[in-house]
Amino acid sequence: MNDSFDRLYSDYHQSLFQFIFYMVRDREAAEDIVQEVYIKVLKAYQSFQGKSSEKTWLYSIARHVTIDWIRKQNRRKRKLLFFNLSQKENQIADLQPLPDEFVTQQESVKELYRALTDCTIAQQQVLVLRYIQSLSITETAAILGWTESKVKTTQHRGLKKLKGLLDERPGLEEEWKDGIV
Amino acid sequence: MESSKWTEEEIQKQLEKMPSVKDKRSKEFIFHEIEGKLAAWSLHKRRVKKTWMMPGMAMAFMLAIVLILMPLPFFKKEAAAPGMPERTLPKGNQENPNAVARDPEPPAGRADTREHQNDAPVKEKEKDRTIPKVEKKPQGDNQGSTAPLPQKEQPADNNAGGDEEAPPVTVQASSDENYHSPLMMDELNQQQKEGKSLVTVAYSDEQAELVVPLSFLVKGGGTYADKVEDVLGSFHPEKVGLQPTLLNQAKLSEKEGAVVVNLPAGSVSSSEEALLPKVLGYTFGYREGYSTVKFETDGKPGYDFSSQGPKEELDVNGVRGGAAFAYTTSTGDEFLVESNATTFAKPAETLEKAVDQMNEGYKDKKLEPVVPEDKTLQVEQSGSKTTVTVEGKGEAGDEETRKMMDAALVTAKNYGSETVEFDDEASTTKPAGEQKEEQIGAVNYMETKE
Repeated sequence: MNDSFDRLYSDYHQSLFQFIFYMVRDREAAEDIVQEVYIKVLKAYQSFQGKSSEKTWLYSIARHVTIDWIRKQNRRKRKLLFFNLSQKENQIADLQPLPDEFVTQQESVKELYRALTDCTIAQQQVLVLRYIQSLSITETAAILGWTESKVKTTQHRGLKKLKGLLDERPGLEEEWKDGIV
Repeated sequence: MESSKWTEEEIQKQLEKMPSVKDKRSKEFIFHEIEGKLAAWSLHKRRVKKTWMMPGMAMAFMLAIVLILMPLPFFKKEAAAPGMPERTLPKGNQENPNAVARDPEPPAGRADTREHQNDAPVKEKEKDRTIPKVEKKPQGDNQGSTAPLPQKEQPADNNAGGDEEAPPVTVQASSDENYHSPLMMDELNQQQKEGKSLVTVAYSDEQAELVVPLSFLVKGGGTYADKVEDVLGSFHPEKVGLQPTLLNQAKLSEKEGAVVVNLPAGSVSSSEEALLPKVLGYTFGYREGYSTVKFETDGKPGYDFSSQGPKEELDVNGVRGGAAFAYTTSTGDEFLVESNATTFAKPAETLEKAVDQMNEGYKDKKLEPVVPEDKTLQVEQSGSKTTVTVEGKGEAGDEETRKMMDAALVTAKNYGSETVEFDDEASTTKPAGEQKEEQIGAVNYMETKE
């Protein structure tokens, strides 16, 4: 097996996959995307000069490939709308079933997972990298190619947006009463 | 009744506890999949090489024959005429006058496989472009001033990324959305305090029926013409579905408070000529000091246009204006375009009529109305202040609403408003009637990252 792949896989695979999955919320798509990321990485591996950390370099590529995929999906949706598919039908098609990992989770986790989809792509990236992936502000800024202050601002706006979205959802009252959330 | 359910801290903690999602496939399986694709890729690469080897050799052979057969006096004549078109072209494009216009794009959808911190000049991500930092002439930044600096003619180096000393900065969308929203005045002021200058350059659509002004914030000194040249030389509009204009073939400089556009003879096509006032108006008209653009042909005053005849100068003030519409290019990038930036839209006489136009759009020309069907805009102008009332359901933060508000700001500004107040009844995130004041700093902002 290719030594570079072997090492990249053991060091980063599951965390890269998780990042991609939380961005696209589709296991099959995440599987395809992570493979595409490896292909791009292995093609360019010799040109990697070590000026940035390998981790942020990999995440940066993963981020680009993922956003390309999301954009392609959005264009496809627009085309569907153009062909008179009603908006309601399109919205229903958007509701992916919850992944297995979430089925047994509390309602609040499920709601949070769903609410993430209503944030902008930029907010989602920051929230996933910062909290779900536990990356630092510096690492997140390096991956996104942003300034640290922009990461902080987007993070703050993302949390605020999630708060607004979650406050609107009625399904959590029981968990609140039970003190679960 | 509960006052508040979630706090931001709780959300933060909950996000940290989100379940781990793992790839259930084996390492061997993934490697097998990748290996297959990599093998297909290298096979394709070899095939492509083989395919192009023969035509390439044939072309080289033909070229050699042509050079052998070409009479010697031809060369002598060329050598005796310095300052021919190649001298007027950007340095980086001397071998191919259309290099900027025809600059090969990386395949769509290719991700940037370089180190992101490397600031490499070729960013291949759909929304990432590189332009060099404008730092070659430390003469003081004149962007913030209203009058251009009186200077001698300073031909700027329109090197397409060829200035080795200027490290590039990456240009990307202001967010990861397709819509390139305007830069607000507060943000612009802040950026200018940090030493950045605003540069706006107009690019054409693929049908040459309209121009789209793109705004960049660049670092460094030099004249405004220098900065425009730097953007022209290094930003590839094809990546956002736009086309280069005659400015990409010109040498720009400042002379006696005017911008000088030095064009190679015969370089302006008839379609470019029709767009000429718009290209110049939407590139230089934003600068209060540049009321006039002077033409030169290979360094001599005036340019002989095919349909308008010889011209020495053009007034670029008053070109811009009209109602703003949404324009989506073939790459899916979305911009705001004003009616005056098109060759077909009629400018409305009043702001009220302009708002009516905004509701309609020019759908056959891909200028979409910015007011969603479930919303209506009403405007009330009082002196330099305009109140825009948005009626209808929807969320204030969504992209369509944001685009509509941006378009309303641009349009109101075009009709003499200095301040716009939104009475946003469509908002579900804040009480109806809550008002906010906004001012546009620059349209279609292309964010640069260092």
